[in-house]
Formats: sequence, structure tokens, C-alpha cells
Amino acid sequence: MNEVVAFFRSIWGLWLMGLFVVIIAWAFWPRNRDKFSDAAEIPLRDDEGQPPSDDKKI
Amino acid sequence: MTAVVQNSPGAAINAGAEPYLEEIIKKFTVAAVIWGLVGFLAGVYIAFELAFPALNLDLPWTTFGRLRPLHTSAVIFAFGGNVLIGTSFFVVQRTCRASLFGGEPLARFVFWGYQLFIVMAALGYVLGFSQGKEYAEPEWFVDIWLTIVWVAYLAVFLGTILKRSEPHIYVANWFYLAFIVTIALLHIGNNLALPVSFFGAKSYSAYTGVQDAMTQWWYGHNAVGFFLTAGFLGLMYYFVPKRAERPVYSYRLSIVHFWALIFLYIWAGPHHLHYTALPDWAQTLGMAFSVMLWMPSWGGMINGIMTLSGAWDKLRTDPVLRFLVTSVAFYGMSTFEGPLMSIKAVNSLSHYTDWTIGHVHSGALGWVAFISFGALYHLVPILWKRSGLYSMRLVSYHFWIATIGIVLYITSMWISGIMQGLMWRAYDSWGFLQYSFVESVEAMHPYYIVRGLGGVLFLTGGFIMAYNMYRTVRGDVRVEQPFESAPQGAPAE
Repeated sequence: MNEVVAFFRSIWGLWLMGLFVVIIAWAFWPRNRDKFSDAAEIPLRDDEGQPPSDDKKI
Repeated sequence: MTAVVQNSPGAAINAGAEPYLEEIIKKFTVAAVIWGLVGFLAGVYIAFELAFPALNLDLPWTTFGRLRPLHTSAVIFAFGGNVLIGTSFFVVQRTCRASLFGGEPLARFVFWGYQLFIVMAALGYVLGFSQGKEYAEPEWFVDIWLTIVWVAYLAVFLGTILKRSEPHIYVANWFYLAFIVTIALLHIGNNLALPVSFFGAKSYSAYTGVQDAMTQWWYGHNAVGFFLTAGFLGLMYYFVPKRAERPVYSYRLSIVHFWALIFLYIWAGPHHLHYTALPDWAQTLGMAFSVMLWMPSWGGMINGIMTLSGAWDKLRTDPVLRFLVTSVAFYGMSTFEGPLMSIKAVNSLSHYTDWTIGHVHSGALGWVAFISFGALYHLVPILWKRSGLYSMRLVSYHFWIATIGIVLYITSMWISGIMQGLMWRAYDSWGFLQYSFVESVEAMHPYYIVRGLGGVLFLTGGFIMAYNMYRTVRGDVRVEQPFESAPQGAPAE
């Protein structure tokens, strides 16, 4: 077990790189396109359906 | 709660939702403006101290060495910090559709706790207590207090994300969270120190020699990377799309931007220690990662600016959006200059000169302060429920006066810095240094005056903003034709 951990520690640059490649693939995966373009709209609809804020007189 | 109130067309209020907490954000906004003015004023004063040393008044409390950390901490932690915490509370509530975790009491603790930290730090500098670590000058007891406040801040932010009703966590929150977590890590890592006595302020760092230097610049550079960059990118990803009324150019690019920045930034610190006792391999590593940072920085800049694609006219008609977009352009410029200066050959000329100061201020004034101004101008009418700002003309005045101030500042420091670097390395035909150090100091004098004047302009812009916001909060609206308004009879946008 210790040897396995030591091996992966010695190639940390490689699996960090692999992790990053996976993230990029996830970001540009065609099936995720709609999900992300919907997420981009979040700031533009942040007022809808919310009760008024805790506004007091200052 | 029987009546269904319409607050936007077609959207009924979700009766189960708690209202957003915005009183606390007003406090952060006011604090940011006040601390901003204090910080800019301190900067202008020490700029003139360098030009006219008599201004240190021969008093220990007003020497450059004590006022300089006062200036840097006031603008970075007091102005920038209040902007970051305040806007993060605003953004996280709205993009998660949840009110702040912990409610008003916990948020109020974060606010007053943070202001207490600022006051303790500032008093410490002026009275001469310092750890001697750049941007981490406060002594151990102030550091412990900030740690407590910061954990509370993390709890509010993370708790709000956890109770969100929006399934997706919007990318601005990723940047804010990276800022909060990394600053906690850096703050604790760099400030490990042993107090000399229990009731005394003095302490000694847990690190020595080159380890101490490396830890300090691991901290120092990542304070730039995660406080002044990642945090304010959180602002960019919310306020630029919001103000431009269109989604960010590419949400996928924003994901790549985020992760590339996170993976790369943490390694760039050694470029502050070129040609020192730090091992060569570490210097080269720092340089290589700094150069690689070009890619995420420019990816992010393109993403921010291209959000206006198809709506470029808004730059002409909305000075608030102009602040936001100009800040992103300055972000691109200073993140181009930074990697350039991290290259060892360039650094041998630029290091220890005013070029570094010019570089920092093109980022700090152009990017951090401008995006903050844009966000604050956008926020004030929303928070105080006003129809708009008191005067758009004053926003335009602020924009142009501050921009001219920045240009004066950075150009004078480029010339002064490169001149300094060249004078220090000039040899005569006998192999002797051509100039004594004091000759290079004397040569810098006119540039120091120009820099000071640039600072005066920037400070003037800050006062215009404070006045404009004060009148907005009072509910006044100035009768005026904004400079940017469409000509009479032209169709409205």
C-alpha cells in the first residue's frame, strides 16, 4: 500500500495534468452544452420570484 | 403571506423563500468607499513623501516605512476586502437563490470583526508593530483574530451555497470560494510565529532564511493571485454580464479559466526571488508557471470583454459598464506585463525598481479598483432601492479623471523604473559603476512628482464617487442630460 502511495506521489504532476484534461473534456463535452448555456443565464434571472429584501430605512 | 406580489413580469413570489439579506451589504458598501478614500489618501501622501522627504515630518509615526503598509493594507484589505466580502454576499445569495447562512447575526459578526481587524492592523503599523512580512505585517494576535473572522466568513458563504435552491453553482461563486479558502490557507501558513511573551506584541516567524523568504512570497504572490485576481474575477463573472444584460461570452471558457488559474497560480511565487539564495530550479519553476499564467489570464480577459459582443454601444452609453470593461482590459494588460517581468532576463532589469510599482498599480488601480467602482455604482441604487444613480455625468467625470491618473502613474513609473535599472547596471570603460545610488535617486525626482499627481487625480475621482453615492442614497436625482445619452430623437436602445 505504501509503495502504491509513494508511486502516485512521485508522479503527482501527471495525475494533476490528467485531472485537468478531464475537466476540459467535461467542459466541452457536447452533451453538456445546454446545461452550461443555461447556467450562464443565472445572473440574469436572479430577481425572479424572490420576496423583497430585508430593506429598512437608513 | 396570502397576497401574491408581482416583482417581475410573470414571476410569482416563492412564498417559501427567505428574503435576501441586503442591509449587511449596505454596510460593506459604505465601509469600502470610506476605506478606499483613506487608502488612496495614504498612497498620495507617501508618494509625495518620496518626492519631498521632509513630508515625513521627522516623526516616527509618519515615516514612509510605517505609512506604506498602512497604504497597502488600506487599499488591499480594507477597500478590496470590503468590496469582496460585500459583493460575495450579494452574488452568492442571488445566484444560489438563498438567503445568507447564519442570518443577520453571523453576517454582522463578519462585518464588525473585519473592521476591527483593519483598525487593529492600521494602529499597529503606525505605532511600529510589524512582522516585517510584506502584506502580512500584522502581529500574531491580529492574525489570530482575522482567522476567527475568516472562518465565520467561510461558514456564511459555504453555508449559503449548501442551502441553495439553484441546482448549479454559478461560476462567480467558484472564484469567490477559491479566494476564501486559499486566503485562509496562505494566511495561516505564512503567519506561523512564536510570540516572545504572552502579553507582548512581538513574535518571531516559525521559518528562517530562504524558507522564510519562499513562504513569504508563496503567500505574497498568491495574495495577488487569489485576493486581487480570483476574488475580483468573481465580481467580473457576475457584474459584467449583469450590467451588459447578456450572459457571459462562453460559460465553458469560464470553467477552463477557473481550473487553469487554480492549477497554475500557486506555483508562481518564486519569481519574486530571482537571483537570490533560492535554488535556481525553484526560480526557473516560478518563471515557467508565471509564463504559463498568460493563457488563463487572457482566456478570462477575452471572456469578460467578449461578453459585450453585439452590445458594444453600451460602452458608449453606460459609464458604469465602461468602468467594468476597462478594468478587464487593464487586467489583460497587467497580466501580460507580469509574466514578462517574471522572465529572469527581464527581471534582472526590473526587479527592485519602480517598474514593479508601476506594474502593481496598473493592476491595482486599473483592474481591482475599476471593477470595484463599477460594481459599487451598480450596487448602490439596487441596495438602497433607488431608480438610478444621482448623476451619470459624475460617473463619467470619475472615469476619465481616474483613467488619466492611472496613465500618469504607470507611465512615470515605467520610465523611472527602466531608467533606474539601466543606471544601476551601467559600467564605465574601466569597469566601475557609472552612477552612485544617490544619482539614480535624484534622477527619479520628476517622475515621483508626476506619479503623485496621478495619485491626486485618482483620489479626486474617489471623492466624486463618494459624493455621487451619498446623494444617491439620500434619494436625489440630478437634472441633467448624461454625456453618453443618445442624441435627441434617436431611438432608445
